[in-house]
Amino acid sequence: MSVAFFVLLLTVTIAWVLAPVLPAIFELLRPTDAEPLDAVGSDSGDLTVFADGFRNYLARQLPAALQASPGAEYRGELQDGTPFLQVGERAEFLGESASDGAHSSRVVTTVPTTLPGGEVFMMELLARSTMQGGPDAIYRAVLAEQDLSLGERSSVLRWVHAAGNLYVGSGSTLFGRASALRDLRLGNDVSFTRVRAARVVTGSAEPPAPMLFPLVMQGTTKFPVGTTRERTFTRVAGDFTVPEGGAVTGSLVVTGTLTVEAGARIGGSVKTHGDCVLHDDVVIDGALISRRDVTTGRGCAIHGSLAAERTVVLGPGSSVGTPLAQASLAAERITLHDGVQVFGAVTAVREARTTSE
Amino acid sequence: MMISVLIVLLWGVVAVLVTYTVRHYIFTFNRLFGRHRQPYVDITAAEWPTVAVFIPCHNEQAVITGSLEALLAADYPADRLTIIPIDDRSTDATGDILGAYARRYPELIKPVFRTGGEPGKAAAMAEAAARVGAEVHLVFDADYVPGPKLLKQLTAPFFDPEVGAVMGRVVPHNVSSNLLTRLLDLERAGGYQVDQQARMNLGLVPQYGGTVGGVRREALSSVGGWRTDTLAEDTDMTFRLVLQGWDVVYQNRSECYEEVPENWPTRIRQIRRWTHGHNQSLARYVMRIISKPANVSGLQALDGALLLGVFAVGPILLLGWLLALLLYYMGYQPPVTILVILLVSAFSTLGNFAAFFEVATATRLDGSRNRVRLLPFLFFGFLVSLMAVSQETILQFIGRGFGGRKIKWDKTERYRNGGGAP
Repeated sequence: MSVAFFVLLLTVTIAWVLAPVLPAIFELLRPTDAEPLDAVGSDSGDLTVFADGFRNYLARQLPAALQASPGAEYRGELQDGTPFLQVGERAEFLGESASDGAHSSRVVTTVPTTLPGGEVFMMELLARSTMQGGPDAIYRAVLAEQDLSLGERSSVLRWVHAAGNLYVGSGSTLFGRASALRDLRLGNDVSFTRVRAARVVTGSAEPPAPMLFPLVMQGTTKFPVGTTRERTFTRVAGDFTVPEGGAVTGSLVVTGTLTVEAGARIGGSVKTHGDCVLHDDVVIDGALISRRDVTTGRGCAIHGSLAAERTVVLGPGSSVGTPLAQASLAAERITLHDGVQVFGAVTAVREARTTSE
Repeated sequence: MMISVLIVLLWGVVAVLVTYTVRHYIFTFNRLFGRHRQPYVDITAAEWPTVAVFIPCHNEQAVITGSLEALLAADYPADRLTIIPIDDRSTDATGDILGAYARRYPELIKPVFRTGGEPGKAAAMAEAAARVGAEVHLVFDADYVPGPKLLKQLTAPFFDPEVGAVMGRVVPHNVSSNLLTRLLDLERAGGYQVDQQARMNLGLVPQYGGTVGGVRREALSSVGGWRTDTLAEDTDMTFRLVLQGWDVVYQNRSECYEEVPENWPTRIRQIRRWTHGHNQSLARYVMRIISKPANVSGLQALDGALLLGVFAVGPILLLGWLLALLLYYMGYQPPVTILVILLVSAFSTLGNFAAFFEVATATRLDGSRNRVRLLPFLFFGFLVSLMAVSQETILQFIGRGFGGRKIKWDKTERYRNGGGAP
């Protein structure tokens, strides 16, 4: 074997061995992905974070002409060159600026405005005064400094926030986040994933205040054999039924399915490893956590948060949280019947929907 | 006779490695194709319980300010929050810094200054926790920088009456420093994104890691508080809680930045400390968890035992290599089956806290792009860990024993602000 052949063979062998680690060597010598994972959020996770960001952005970018007379009619650009339209005293100016209803500018309205419907807002919309949306409108994002009403079959692609009340018309779809500082009322057949307000309420009628005590209470509940009393809760092995009008003192963990008959009360939090079925007028003083499905009848009141790993169906007039105690409703899929009230946040991993059926 | 004993031992090694291989693959496939469980992370509005945030400190002047500022910016009701830095006989400016913060925020920051008693994180925690009545005790190391929403995220699981402890995800911040920090970043990703989350998904035993996490006061009290005679009070707490019927849960979306070691000697010291503490827990709890007490499922018992044995895998792998060599030179020709199994399982258990394919899966789930290219270098990191773990384990078994090592502050070096005062 010649020396040249040996060197060639050696070179090829070294190259063969090094080939799989070449990407590693290149990445080590010239890092292209060496930043910390962008996983640690710097915001508080509040749903209003986008609305706050937009408000601050507009304050910085308003044209100089508008900073002197903030309520004037204006069509032009923001300081960063973004197309911009401000509706002043004449609400009709909005319609005149886009005859086909498609608005490609960032839009600000400063007077009470009623839209005829069918508009498409391709950029953010800020309503400094009240706004009444028409049917079949599509919004990229809306920030309302007062009350806002979205018409039937509206779509919001990113977020909507109202500093007052927010009404979402029937058949609407909220693809992103929706929030209101006061009431957020959802019409029938509204689809959404994340909403938050002082009170989220479904349907058009005003439901009664959440029940603090059940109508009928008949005393304590007998636990089955195998029940153990832990330090902070009672653990029932297998399925368990709290009888009609029965009461359970303290928190309850059920490793099977829990059924709570009408008018019963649980004086603490509840955890179920299986399904949880609450019949009418049940009151739970604490949180309700389920590894499967939760279904409630009419007028149930869960004073703490409700989190289920699969589906939640809240019956007519049921509530989560109280006016004095904020709470969360979270599940993979959520169905809310008419008259449901949630004092706080509703989050569905896949989809939440209102229904009047 | 000798050969027969060695063959039986080799089969035993292979059995252990195969068990861990299967476990790694189950976790990986679960994360790739399984149902992702984060049942509490969307509890964002609630009547929040009272929380005490503990920060054990020993000579932390370089980092403690960042941690305190981050906690002061946290989104949590101020009337239900107390921040309790525990200064355990620092000899630098840590005590002065804590004193200044306590004067500025007297209602919020209430430091504990230790000048005597047993040293170490566990002892510091045990002493401070006993004085506090808050319902939830969260713990952060002094170099951790929690985001504003982290306290609520870590507290939310405690609305579940069964939850005794919660663990968030640790994300290295000083990734770009050198090869070691980049390897540790990969290793952490595999350990949390795949291992911990898979255990959460499968209802097994996620591990409370002693930081970016917390314990329910009632649960802490039910197991007798923090143990001070262990180097891994977190693993110890995990198993005492599980044995008492409490759930330990993991939240992948509750992330917090940390500093990882930037040099190999520091890393080796850290590994040896973890090994010692973990093996202490192995000796204390493995038989109790295997005997499957009430409220511990069969799968939890199995996973718990395997979790306790994690630091034993390295020495066992080393033993397997040694046995294979010995048998080869003694003229034994092992069947092809055992060689193939040994090869596959040996490869699949390479990795200290996560096998290589778990790390690759984690980078994919994290959406990170090119860092996975460094995967081949993990082998060198693993060899270093293998030696450190094996040395410590062997010393424990044949030398100093499981409780003999003196407990002291064996703290990890800090790098922020050059390691000095901010």
